[in-house]
Amino acid sequence: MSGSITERAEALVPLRPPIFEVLLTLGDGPRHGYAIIQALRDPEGPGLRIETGPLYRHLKRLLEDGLIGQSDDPPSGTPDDDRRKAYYSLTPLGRAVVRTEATRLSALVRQTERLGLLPEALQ
Amino acid sequence: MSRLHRLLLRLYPREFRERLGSGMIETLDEDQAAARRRGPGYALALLVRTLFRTPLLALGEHVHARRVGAGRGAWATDLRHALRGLARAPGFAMVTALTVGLGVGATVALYSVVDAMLLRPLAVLQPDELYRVQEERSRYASVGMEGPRIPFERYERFRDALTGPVFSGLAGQNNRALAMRADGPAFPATVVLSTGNYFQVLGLRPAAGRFFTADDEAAVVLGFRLWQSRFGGSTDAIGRTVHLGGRPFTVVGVAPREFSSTIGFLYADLWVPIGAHDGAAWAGARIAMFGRLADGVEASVAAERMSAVAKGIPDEDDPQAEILGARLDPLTPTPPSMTGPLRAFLAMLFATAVLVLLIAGANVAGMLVARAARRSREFAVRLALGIGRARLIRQSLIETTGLFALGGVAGTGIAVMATAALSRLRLPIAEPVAIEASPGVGALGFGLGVAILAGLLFGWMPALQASRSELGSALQEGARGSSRGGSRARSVFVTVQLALSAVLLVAATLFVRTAHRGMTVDPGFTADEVIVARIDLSPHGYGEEEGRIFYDRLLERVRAHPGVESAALADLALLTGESSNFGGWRLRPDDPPLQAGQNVVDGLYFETLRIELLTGRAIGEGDVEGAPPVVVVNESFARRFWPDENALGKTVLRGGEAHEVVGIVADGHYVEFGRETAPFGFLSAAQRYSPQRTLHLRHRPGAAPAEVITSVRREVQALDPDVAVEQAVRLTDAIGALLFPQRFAATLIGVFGLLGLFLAATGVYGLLAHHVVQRTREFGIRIALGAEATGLLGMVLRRGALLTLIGTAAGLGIAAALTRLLGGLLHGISPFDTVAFLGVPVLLGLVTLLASTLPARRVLRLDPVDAIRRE
Repeated sequence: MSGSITERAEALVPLRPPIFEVLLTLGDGPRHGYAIIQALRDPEGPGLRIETGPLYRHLKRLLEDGLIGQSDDPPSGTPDDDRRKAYYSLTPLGRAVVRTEATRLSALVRQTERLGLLPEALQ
Repeated sequence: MSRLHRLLLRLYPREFRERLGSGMIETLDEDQAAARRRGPGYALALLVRTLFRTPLLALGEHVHARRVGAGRGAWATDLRHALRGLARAPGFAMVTALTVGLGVGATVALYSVVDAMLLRPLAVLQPDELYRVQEERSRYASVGMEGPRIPFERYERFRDALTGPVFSGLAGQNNRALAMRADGPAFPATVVLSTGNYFQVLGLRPAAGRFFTADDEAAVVLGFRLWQSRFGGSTDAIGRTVHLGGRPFTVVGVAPREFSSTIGFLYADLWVPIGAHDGAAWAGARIAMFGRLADGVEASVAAERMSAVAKGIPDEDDPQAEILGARLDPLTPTPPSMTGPLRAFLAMLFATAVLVLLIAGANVAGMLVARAARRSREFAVRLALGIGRARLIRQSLIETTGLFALGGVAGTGIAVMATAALSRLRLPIAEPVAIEASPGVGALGFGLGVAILAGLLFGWMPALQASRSELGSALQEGARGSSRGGSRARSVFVTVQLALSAVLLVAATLFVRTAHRGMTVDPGFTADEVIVARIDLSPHGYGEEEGRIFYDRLLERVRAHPGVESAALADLALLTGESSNFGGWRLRPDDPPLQAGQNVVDGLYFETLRIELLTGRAIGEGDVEGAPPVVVVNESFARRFWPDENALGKTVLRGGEAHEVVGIVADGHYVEFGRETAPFGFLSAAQRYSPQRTLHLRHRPGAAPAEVITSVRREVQALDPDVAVEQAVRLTDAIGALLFPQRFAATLIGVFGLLGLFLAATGVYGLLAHHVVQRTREFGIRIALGAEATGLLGMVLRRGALLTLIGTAAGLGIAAALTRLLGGLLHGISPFDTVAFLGVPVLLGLVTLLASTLPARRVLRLDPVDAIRRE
């Protein structure tokens, strides 16, 4: 693990789509495992049907790579009777990776647009 | 549940457990709780998935952990060691892997079918938000496969009251067969009459074109398969005109490939907006509802809200029905009415597949024990060199599990082939049902999981066997290998195989006997050379008068055909599983109704089916509308109502009307091949018009049935090109279809049973062969001392016979306990059928005798000098 955060983030993209989706669910603050599943399943959002086992495999890799952190402190405002054992949140490296990946993807979208391949609804 | 999750988590590497374990258990618990709130089916499906997926994921984590480098060394070495061991004996590895593969293949194939029929959710957006929605009432005017149906106007009231706060969308549908015509002759199509929001509520995207909306008048959406088969899968199909019930419709789009209908195995050909064409044949069709819950609304709350609305809408349609409330059931691919029997049948087949797996596992375990015994010297040396017993057990387990995993791979291959064959199978029923059971990722995971579990289960014995090796005795015993213990363990495994094979063979025999009885029992009529053709005029706008004329002219035309001996009309074909309207018959208006079957027939019916008229007369030309109603009854009917009197001339009430008994016919099996014949009455077709009739034709012995069927279709075409013959088959085939589950079970379990028997026989052979080799020296000495070789032969054979005796006895005991559960599927055959319970032991005895004779014969050829000298 060396180099600036940006360099390390560059080395970690492209992300596999489900990994990116998992990171995005943590974009607005820490969540516990089931909340991540719910966010992923949201039909308005990614609409990903993911189950606990595969999710935790992703979480394990993300923890190992230092993209997310784990803590047993709930986000402020959580009522006492709704506490969970573990919450996951983006680390600075995680945020950098999300930004790098988004930049990469938007460059691809722009290129698609230049080629006239973008559906009208998205232009 | 939390305990189970904790247990499953133990499969993960310690580092994973310590870091993520508590969060993961919590999440598993929460997800399971959420599934349980949705319904027991969802909870069960999730549980099954979790059970089978977790071991694989955990295995992945172990591999990952090694790769990352935490404990590199020991495991990798053991794995290499195991692979080397297997590579040294490729023949052994192949035979065992294939044996396991057969067992795993059977389980995976059956699991795929269970998954396709019961577990897999519908291929729609967020299927867990969709619910079958129905009123609970004291009686239903119409119940379809998709649920109780209500009038369209009533649906509209519900839709307007509940969309928004309770449902994000509420749709309705009615599945039925309609004659459809594109180019060429009309053919029966499975049509879903649906509300305009049907596809939107399901959240589907068309494979081509667009879906219809509430505003579309005469638009249809094609099913993917129909699009492929009749329109070549070309987008030119969009905009084409098709005819339904004689009216034109424009094709606007194609449904996605993976969506068959809301009933998983019913492949719809066409979706039509229910409001299309005022005055279409299906005007006034009732619909069954389903809906998508609005965000955050619980099903129980929705049911309460709907119940309140339901009680507020007066039921003009059926004012006597009492509205009790409303209920919501998850929209599962199998309709609730069918889930029970289907589940029982599939559970039985699945259980037999598991038995095959157990037999295969026991067989391989026997081979492994023998192999461990042969390698005892190697194990002893390694133990002496300081390798721990635990390590040795682990190595042995890794080897066995690897072998079984290999078998799992072979097995999934076998399952893929088996299910491909299954989906090509055309079920002999009118509905276009298809079992799409190609194993998905879940099934493949299941196969590997099962194989590995079996490896762990059956690997213990050989592993312990290996670890017990003693250096001193192992070296002394020399090349012969060792251990009485190993031989005892093998005997147990062989006995288990024999017992389980006996169970399978008994079950198979019972089903074979049931199917055979169905083909040989005298049903009381002669189905040979009879063709039945079902025709329904109701979607084609025929009134009663036109309908009568249509059928009269049809009869006239087919009777003129040179191949036809006689032709008659009836409401339904006997013994084909068509519901025979077991209605209430009474002697006096205040009597409780007696149940008896009913068919509506014309004058030539008894002659065409060769049903024997005992006394009186058949339905005659004069029994028309306006004339006094008549009935012809069978003997059971006459006995039931007038036990000690002559039934002829008596009257019986049906639907409030008095019918005079004008004739009595011989008893027969009209509904099922039970032991007893049911009471049955035949009413006059001319006195009871129905637009739906089954044409019965007896063809001359020389005429080809296929030609007669073609000419029937041609005559119907000539009368009205829009009317399709829904089903035209030989009556014997239609009756055979009634026994399809039994024949299917007989074939499948029969194959399983023979497979099990073969494996058990190889087990017996292997055990005795090993036994003879081990005792060669002893036998040599005995012969040298004057023992008769035949006496020694007897010793070996007795050993085989003892195993067979114990195994078979245990097997028959288990079978006797289990076959009782099959009662409902065995028409007229006792679950303790003597043929099965005597024949199977005889078969097992013969096969094992053969398997023991081969090794035993070696004893006869024994040269004592050679045998004693051998080391």
